[in-house]
Amino acid sequence: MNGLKVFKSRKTAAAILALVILAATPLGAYLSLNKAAQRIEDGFYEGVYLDDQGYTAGSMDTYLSDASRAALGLVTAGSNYDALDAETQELRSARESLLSAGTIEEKYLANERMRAAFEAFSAAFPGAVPSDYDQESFDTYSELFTQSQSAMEHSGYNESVDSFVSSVMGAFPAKLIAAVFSIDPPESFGVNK
Amino acid sequence: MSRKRFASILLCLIMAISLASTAMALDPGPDFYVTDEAGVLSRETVDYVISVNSELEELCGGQIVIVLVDYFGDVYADEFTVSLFNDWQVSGSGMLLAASTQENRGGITVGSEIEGSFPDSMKSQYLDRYFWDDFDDGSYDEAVTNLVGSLYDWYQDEYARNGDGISFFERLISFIIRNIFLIIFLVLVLMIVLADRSRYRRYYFGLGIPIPRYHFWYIFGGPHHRYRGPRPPRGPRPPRGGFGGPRPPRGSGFGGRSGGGFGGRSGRSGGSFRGGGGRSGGGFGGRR
Repeated sequence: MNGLKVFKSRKTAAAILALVILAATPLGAYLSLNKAAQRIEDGFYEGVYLDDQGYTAGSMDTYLSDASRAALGLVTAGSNYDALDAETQELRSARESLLSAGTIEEKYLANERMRAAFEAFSAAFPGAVPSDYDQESFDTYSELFTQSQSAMEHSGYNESVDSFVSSVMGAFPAKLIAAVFSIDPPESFGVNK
Repeated sequence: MSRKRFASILLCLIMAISLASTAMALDPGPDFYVTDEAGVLSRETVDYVISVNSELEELCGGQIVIVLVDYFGDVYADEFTVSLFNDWQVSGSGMLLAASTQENRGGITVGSEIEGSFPDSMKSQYLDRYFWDDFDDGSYDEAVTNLVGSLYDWYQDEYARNGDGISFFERLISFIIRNIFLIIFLVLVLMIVLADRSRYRRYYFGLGIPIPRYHFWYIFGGPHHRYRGPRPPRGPRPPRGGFGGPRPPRGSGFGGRSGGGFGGRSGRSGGSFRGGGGRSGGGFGGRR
């Protein structure tokens, strides 16, 4: 009981309070920074609010789905022609890699591969002498693919990541906390170092 | 190499080629809406799908096409389904379900006109809810019937939402149900305001003066809120100073002093008037 009396003193209370504050502050900062970084990355799936335009743009994930749908349509059209076997197979394979991609960087790489495959396919398609229906299908799916790629460039996601990294994670004390607790910045849609 | 071995290898090759080409060389069945290459559906189910489609075509030109095969082969289910949809030129507002009974895989694809309103997530949901359990159990008739029925309901809701075939009355009911709490709140507010207005009018009626216009913000503190009801009756008068005793001195005027009230006009400022004891609400209506 005498040992417990020490907890009644003001000095002890002050010391405990100081310890709690010292421990809680960095922990709170870590949790906040982590949460903020996660929120930025959520914008990849939910869309980013564009301040200058006053609305939430479509999400990168949705545009990638559109690109995937377009690629599938092109593959089904191309599979009717032996002359397009190689280009169709590459486009099909690129699409599969997008469907199986897990991280944002993997999705980026798969999309880049799909873009290259699309360009090769588009170049070869007229040479296959397609039917009118297949030509219409090609035009429709190509438009969808091109639109989705353009939409991705204007989605504002990478800009939101850059802004967060430079203005929040690059500033004190977030920079220190990120270094101490090894907090990763949000993944941009590109090759991340 | 023995003849038997050669024959078995040749047979395997032929089967592989035929399986791989099945997917892409499939023609629609005689009914178009149902192609049952796997031979698992009853005639009743086929007739049901056809009858749903004839109603659907009248409703909106949509189509629900069912394709059941044994194997997709080396082709992914989505490529198979989309390929069939395009090859058979199913309507732009139509849907095609393709499923493989031996591989337990398959899916739905829809026309470009309804892709936005029936996205991939919804397709998966419908399949999970109405199709896969029965399909995996081998109850193909139930699986197809349940799914086609639910898809038809979706079409009805979708085209009703877009303003085709729903009456004003049905829309009104739907609006009321969706906003029931807001409506209850508004009705309560209206009842409170009406009750307060009634009290306001009784107040001025009791005063015997013309009733000024009521404003709804008076519920927060109008002149009638300070009215505490009729005055209680006066108490008995104190006794006079004795019979025959000296009278108190009279005032200089007749009948005592004036209470100060005046009903006419005066050139003076209002400072010399006395009204009923109320206070201006502060509002002003007129030209400033």
